[in-house]
Amino acid sequence: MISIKDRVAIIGMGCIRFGERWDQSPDDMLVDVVYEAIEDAGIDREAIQAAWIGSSRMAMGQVLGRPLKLRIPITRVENACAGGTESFRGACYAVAAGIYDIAIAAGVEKLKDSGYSGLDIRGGQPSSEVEPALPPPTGFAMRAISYCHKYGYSVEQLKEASAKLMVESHKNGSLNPRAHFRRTITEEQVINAPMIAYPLGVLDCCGISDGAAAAIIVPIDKAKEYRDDYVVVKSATVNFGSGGWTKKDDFIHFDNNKCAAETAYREAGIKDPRKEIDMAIVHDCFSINQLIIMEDLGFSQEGAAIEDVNAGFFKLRGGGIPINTDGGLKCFGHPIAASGLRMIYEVYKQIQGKTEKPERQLSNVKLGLTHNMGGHLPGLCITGMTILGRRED
Amino acid sequence: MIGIKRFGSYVPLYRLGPGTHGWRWSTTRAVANFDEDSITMAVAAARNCLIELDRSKVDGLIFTSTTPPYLEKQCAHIIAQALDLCDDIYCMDICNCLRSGTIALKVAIDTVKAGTARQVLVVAADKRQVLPASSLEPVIGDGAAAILISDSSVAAEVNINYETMNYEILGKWRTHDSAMVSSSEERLYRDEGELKIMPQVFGSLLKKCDLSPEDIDRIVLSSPTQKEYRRMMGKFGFEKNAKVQESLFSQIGNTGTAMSLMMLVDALESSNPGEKLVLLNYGNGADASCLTVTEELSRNTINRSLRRQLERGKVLEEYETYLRWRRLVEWGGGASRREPEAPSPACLYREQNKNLRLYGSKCKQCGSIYFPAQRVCIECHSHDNFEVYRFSDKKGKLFTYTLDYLTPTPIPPVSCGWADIEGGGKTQQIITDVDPNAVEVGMPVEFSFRNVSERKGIENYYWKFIPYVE
Repeated sequence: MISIKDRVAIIGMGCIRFGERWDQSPDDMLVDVVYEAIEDAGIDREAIQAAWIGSSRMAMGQVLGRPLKLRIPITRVENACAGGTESFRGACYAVAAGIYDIAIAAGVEKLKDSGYSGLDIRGGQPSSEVEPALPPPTGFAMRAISYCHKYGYSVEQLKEASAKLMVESHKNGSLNPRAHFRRTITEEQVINAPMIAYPLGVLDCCGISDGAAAAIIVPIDKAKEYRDDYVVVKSATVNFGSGGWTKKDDFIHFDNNKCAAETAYREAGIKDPRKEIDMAIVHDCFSINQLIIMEDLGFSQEGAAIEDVNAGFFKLRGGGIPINTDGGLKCFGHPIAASGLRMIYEVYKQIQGKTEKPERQLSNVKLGLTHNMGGHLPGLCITGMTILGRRED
Repeated sequence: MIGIKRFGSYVPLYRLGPGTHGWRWSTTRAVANFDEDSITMAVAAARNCLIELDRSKVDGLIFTSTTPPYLEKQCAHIIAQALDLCDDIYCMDICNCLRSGTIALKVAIDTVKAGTARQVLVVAADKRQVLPASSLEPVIGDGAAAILISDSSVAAEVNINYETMNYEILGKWRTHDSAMVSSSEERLYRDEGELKIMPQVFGSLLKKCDLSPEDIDRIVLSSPTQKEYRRMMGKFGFEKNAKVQESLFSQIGNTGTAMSLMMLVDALESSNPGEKLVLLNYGNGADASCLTVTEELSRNTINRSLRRQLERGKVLEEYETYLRWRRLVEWGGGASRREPEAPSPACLYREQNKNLRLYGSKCKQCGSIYFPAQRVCIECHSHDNFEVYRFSDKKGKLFTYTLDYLTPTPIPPVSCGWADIEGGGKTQQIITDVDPNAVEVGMPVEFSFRNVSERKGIENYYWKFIPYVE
């Protein structure tokens, strides 16, 4: 296998304001983000040669083709919550293969059209319906209990550390006009929030939102024709788990995360992620997942993420690796197939030095990582990861 | 010799009683959980009966109830699946008569005597429904019993004489457009029914068996008004309350079709070799049969005796819990949610061994055990190289859990957890019959067959965890 490192670059991106967009259809959101990306890239819309569109509920390429009148190859992709990264990867690989010179990857989700509060788990394939139809928080809540048990933490200690993460995400989200939730919160509010699935409270859980984002990809040797501050793709990978729960499974860490990290670091040539990664936007669907991901990605030693949290290692300022600098899933909500691209959008802007609010801008970002994850059962999850870098030539 | 080889009972964990806020009576009754019905309770009683027995040797199953979940669709074979019995056994439902338990015993005895089957399992179960605050409410209960009739290793020989009398008098009844039992005046069916014909069948039986009342060590009598024993005993030629098996009314209520067989199980669990028992049952008539306990009884391992289950009873704190369990009061989930889908019949068909028999797999190459079964081994990737592995009789230990406050359920939260199963394998199930505050890592669990939902008239059965207690 050959690597995708330094083969393609992002020259333009768009990202809608995530939230309860009652006034916008999926078509409306895609028109907005695609034109924002086209404008950012400075290209003619007719120059786009192929498209990938992530959507967990709407089928067929017409999801993108109908609103945008694109008479080109369009692939609709679905990989649960990693759908956005899947879409991005499709476009990157097609351009890296030398087949296309300009491709677009988009993702869209209108969760709030369901009419229900909470995630609407629509039936897909019919089933016998005997398996407990437990909502997503339960799987992660059980990992939290396992985590405390394995590493000797009390539930209170876990909740305190989780609260610090959520407070920090909200601080970042309050500095982001595109986030859904933009108010700051306190640790007490997180710890005392109503219980959703013990020990996770409502403020340990990301929200349900609408959203869309898009990215325009070109081959690396053509990137400078469009802009100076193009962003280089160092790695784009999607990895599945083992297919079930094995004896080695501790019901805490995700083998799909570890596989994706291994692939991504190898592709990007990263030996010590804790030192080399400058920022990361990760899948904080639930606070416990953010902790677990820090260990799965090798940012923290196994069992030591809480120590790093308490030491401020993941804060926007003064830490080692700022995490979820845009507010994360916590503040954006999680429109399923859009989130992966929203994560890439933040890294893209941070590397360029162009975050909307300078208070959120990190200095000197050379390597940023996005991590996106679907599923919750052991061995049955999928991870999408990208590593993006600053132009070096 | 033909008779009872093994026996078992099931008393639901929960009670309504004087400790329940909103319970207006002085009696205590056993009450099935919202996920139990006559099929699930029959399975539970049968599992206690069949412990350590080779299930492939059971070649007949008769289910009796006045509250079968289905009016059209056999219940007996669903129970047979859950018990992992063979496919080619004969299965029968005898429903609609409160006396069906002893009627079924007669059918089983006759079958074994005719030689067309050798080990016939009779299960009786009822989940009874009466109107709140009605006069029947303090006296009814839920429960089940299972009796294995055989021609080998008989623990209580059943005399072939079965005396019965049909009798037309309205006592209790229910038609298919009502879930509630109706009743006539107790004095009518007690004085004109029970007190008239039960002594008659008892007398006929003694005559046929050439026995006198002094030969009988215990009467196991089941009727709607058991408190009138005193008057009855006089009519049977006994003194006062002599030799009568203790009624379970005051502890669990009258469990309908299951009552007579539960009392029989209770009697057998405390009897000794050589004792003669007379089983008397009433409901649309009466019947009587005679049993003699053998030496074989002492070789029986009693699993979950009825008395032990009585000890374990937990009194509900709130009457409203029962009202919600039985949908006597409508309840809604918290957040607005999509109505869940009805199960796909094709999927139910295809998954029956997984869902009902709780079959998983054991890889022949590396020995890994899985639930559900895996055609490709997760560890060694061996393909279609496994043997079938039954999980339902195995115990486990929880290694993680959570309390789900989102899923609609009568009394939130829903407890669920993952357990390491003895012998191998890990599985996630809902935990029922448990106080959510008591769930913890390391809790011992076992599997329990439950009704997980009813949608579009389809009763959907699966297994949950319950705390394992000796």
